Amino acid sequence: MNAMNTTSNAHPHLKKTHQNMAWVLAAINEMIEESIYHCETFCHTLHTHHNLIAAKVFEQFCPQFLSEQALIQDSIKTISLPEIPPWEIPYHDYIHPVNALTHAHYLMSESDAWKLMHEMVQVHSCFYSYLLDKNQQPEIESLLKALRKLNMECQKICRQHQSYNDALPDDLDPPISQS
Amino acid sequence: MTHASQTPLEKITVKTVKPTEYLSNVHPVWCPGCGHFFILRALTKALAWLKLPKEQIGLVSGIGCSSRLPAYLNVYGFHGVHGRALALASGLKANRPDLTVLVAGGDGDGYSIGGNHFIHACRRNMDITYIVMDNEVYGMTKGQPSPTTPAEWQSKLTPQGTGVARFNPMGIALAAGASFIARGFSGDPNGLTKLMTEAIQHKGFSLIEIKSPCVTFRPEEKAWQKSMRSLNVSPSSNPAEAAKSIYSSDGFDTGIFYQADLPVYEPTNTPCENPADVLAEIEKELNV
Amino acid sequence: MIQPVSATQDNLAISVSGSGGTGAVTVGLILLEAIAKAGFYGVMTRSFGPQIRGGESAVMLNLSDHPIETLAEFSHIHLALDWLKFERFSDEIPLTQDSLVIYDNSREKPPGLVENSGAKLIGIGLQNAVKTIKGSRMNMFALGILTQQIGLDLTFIEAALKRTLGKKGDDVISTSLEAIQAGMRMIPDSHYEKLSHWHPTQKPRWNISGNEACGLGALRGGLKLAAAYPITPATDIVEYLAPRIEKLGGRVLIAEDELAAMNMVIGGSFGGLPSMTATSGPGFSLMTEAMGLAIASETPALVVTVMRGGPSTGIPTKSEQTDLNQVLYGFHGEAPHVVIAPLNVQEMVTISQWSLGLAEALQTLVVEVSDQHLGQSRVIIDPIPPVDFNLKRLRPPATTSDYQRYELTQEAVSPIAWPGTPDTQYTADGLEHTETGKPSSMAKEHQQQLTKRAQKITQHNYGEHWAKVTETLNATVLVITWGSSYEAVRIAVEALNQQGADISLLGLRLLMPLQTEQIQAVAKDKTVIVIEQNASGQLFHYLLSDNAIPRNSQSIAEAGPILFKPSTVQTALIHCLEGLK
Ligand SMILES: Cc1ncc(C[n+]2csc(CCOP(=O)(O)OP(=O)(O)O)c2C)c(N)n1
Ligand code: SF4
Ligand SMILES: [Mg+2]
Repeated sequence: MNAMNTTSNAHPHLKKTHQNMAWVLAAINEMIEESIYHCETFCHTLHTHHNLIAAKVFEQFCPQFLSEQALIQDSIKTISLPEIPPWEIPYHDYIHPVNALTHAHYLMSESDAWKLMHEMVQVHSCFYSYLLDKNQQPEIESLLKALRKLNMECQKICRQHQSYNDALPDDLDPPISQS
Repeated sequence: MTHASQTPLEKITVKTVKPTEYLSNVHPVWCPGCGHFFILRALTKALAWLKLPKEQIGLVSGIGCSSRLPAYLNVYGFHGVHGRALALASGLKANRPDLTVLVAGGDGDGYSIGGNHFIHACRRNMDITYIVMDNEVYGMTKGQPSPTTPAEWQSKLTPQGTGVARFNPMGIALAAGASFIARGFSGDPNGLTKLMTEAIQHKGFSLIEIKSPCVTFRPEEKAWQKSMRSLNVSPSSNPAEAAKSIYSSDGFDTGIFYQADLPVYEPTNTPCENPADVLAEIEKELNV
Repeated sequence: MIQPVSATQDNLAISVSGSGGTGAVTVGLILLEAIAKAGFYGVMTRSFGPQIRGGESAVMLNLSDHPIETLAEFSHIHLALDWLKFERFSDEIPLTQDSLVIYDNSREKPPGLVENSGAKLIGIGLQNAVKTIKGSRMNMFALGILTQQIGLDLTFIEAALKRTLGKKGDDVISTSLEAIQAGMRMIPDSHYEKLSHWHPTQKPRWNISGNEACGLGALRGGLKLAAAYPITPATDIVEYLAPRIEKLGGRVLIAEDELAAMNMVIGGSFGGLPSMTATSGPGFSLMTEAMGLAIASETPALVVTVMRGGPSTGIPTKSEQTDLNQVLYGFHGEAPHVVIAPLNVQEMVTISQWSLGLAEALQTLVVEVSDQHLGQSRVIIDPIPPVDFNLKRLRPPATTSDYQRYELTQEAVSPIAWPGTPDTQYTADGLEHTETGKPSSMAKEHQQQLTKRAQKITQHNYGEHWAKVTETLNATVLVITWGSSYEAVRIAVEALNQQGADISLLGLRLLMPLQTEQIQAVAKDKTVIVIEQNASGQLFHYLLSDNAIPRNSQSIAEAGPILFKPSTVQTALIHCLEGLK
């Protein structure tokens, strides 16, 4: 994956509050929302571009993210979440799901779609690992472990669907100008 | 499933305004992977963060893939003709200074056919935010070179490349009198959201020149992901310094290059309490 | 056989010419105002050389004791401050043996064309006279001479002087008055003392130009934004508005070009407030793409175009009714819109207000067509009483759910939301769209929406303003004309009818949508003659193409910039009528 260069010097909008349960919940929730939003949006545009197979991958995968979100919801209960400025990045080397999505293509194959999904799932997994690494609070730890377990299953699904031999079909129709 | 769908778990956040609230029920039909998707997302996040009421926003655009933006938002929008969005927005802002006026478009729309309006919108410095989704190509008409296309890029229309130097939008904006000049990148949604909130809050004409890959006609632009730097520029209010940073940048730096407190053009807008009397007074001048 | 007669009106025509700041125009302005103060009416037109400042200029006044807007057949009195480049004005200042020409004999000799006209010539030492009063100007002596020649009371001149030059201070006024009085003594016997036979009115009257009248009408209609790029002869409209519209809570935006101006109007109007621009042919050409946007997006917009000679830069300072095809057909796609042309300056206020109101109520583009002659003529008219057309934007009801901007309705007009209102957000679009405004290229939606855009315009009841019809009992002939040709044609027709002709007259204001059935009804069993000031008969062909007039109709079409006079129209009509026999 081609990550955007944010590591060279300290990023101006780095989050530093991983010890706080409410912040962790909000940050994870934010990330999952982002993934769900893009999954839905790309599912729709792939549909519009008649790539139903790839669209289906995005559609199928949304529920996985939703179940991650469900775990968060269980933990929230009465905690009121902070508003995290949308420009803050959770940690150094955080890779935004957008990185993967740039490689979507209207003729993408099913396995390409799964590869993309996999990359997005990995974004989640990296964040969970990072938080686990930094955090010893039992409450947060057990949530993160549960999330990671779910995430591992997602990764497995993604890997299972990636095969090597479905290359991109040729684009037989040149694009048509619109305006 | 809809683009603006409310997930069943939405209630868990306490944020009073969600980015998706700013979306209409029209789905974007940009090519999968197009940078414009992430600009749309960043914009809704910025609007939500600023908690701007939807009905207080006027979003104007021209023609192009990028200019499709207004239809995707649940605000007062105007999808006009090619290149004239800034002029239309100036009329809107003149009559309705109470609205937050945003303009969106592409590099062709803003810098080529709309070049004159771009210069004069900068010069007027009205309180308008201009979001340019620069993919260095005419996407919608399937891949002709734009004013920001590198000279050597070959296309059907320019088999040998354009042979013409590129246009420097930020340099021109600075020379023409814009008071906020920033570069963003669609692949850096967080940084972009920051720039958008700053630009909208800035009083005066704000240009955000956003590099946004056209994955269909300029697939090589996907590599921008590797070379762009996130918010590494620090703003200056001194035009000479800003010019230096604009001209010395290799094009991969992002952030606010220039932000200054310059006079904002605000045509008079004092409501008339007694139009009939004033009109009678005006007509009196005609009496012989 | 009918012979041409001189205009029925007992008029008095005065012209003044001079070069480089001699002040000919000031003489005209003061004289017109003084005549008005004396209880009379008049019209003043001007002509200039190509120089920006200091070129030759001339004013032509046609005065009467009742409202008058036509050009004079010839000048009763012409006063030449000098003869430099006088030939330039020979078309506009016809001289005959009935003319009196007064000139400064310390300078150039009168040109041959003046001598050959047979006019009575009086040379006087104007330049020497100036030396007798310190600080005086030659034009004020000239004004004195004219005052004496027509028998105008000095008190009116004094009042007009104060009004016109008051800002320059008391010294200037008193010196000028002194010069005027000296001028009055220079040629003591009056040659054209007509005023004593006229009946002055005590009624209040206005001194107004067509362009000012247009601006005033828009202000009455609630105009809040005028966006424009300067162009002769339309700029005066915006200059009139600039200091006044602000007092009424509006504003002027100076655009970088006409493309911007038209888009600014659309943006301002999208913001919910009546907006307009003013331009002329070349600017109109640049605006047409955006005008299509106003039509497609159903955004109210008023465009006033003040025609000048074309094509290209053409004759910027002179009049021609030559852009009819442009305002009717200058658009791409099916572009139903409204085109209205006032017939004279008098009705310009009300017709402009009506035009703006129609744009608002029908949510479309309205083009109001004027021309250099109407726009830049200055006239004395009776004040125009206010009217309420009750033409407003249709707003959605206060509690609206599922708002659809382009909803198909009975009247074909859909409620338009005020930006800032919650729950009625929409995106206006120049792309074809569905009822909600979503872009669509489906045949069904295209047909529904284009039908709607046409219907709202054709279904509207335009009332009596669509034309000015003057029917003559047992008329066998119907003359149709438009715009600035109307006044000359009207007087010509009236004169012919007095001599026993049976001609009805139709001055067509509403050019689009064409009121074909109404025109057909008036034209029934009559021979139709269409009169217009352009070479190709644009109105004639337009009316024919819609079967509004019968196949055997006749066309009198003449290129500008020499405008119709009642006599030229009469001659042409007589000729045409004879050809029909
Ligand atoms: C007057 C006019 N000329 C040409 C076009 C065709 N046209 C539509 S979009 C476009 C270029 C758009 O490029 P850009 O603004 O960069 O937007 P992008 O599609 O790349 O986002 C052109 C030339 C038009 N619609 N109108
Ligand atoms: S053509 Fe290019 S700019 Fe247009 S939607 Fe596709 S990727 Fe985006
Ligand atoms: Mg582009």
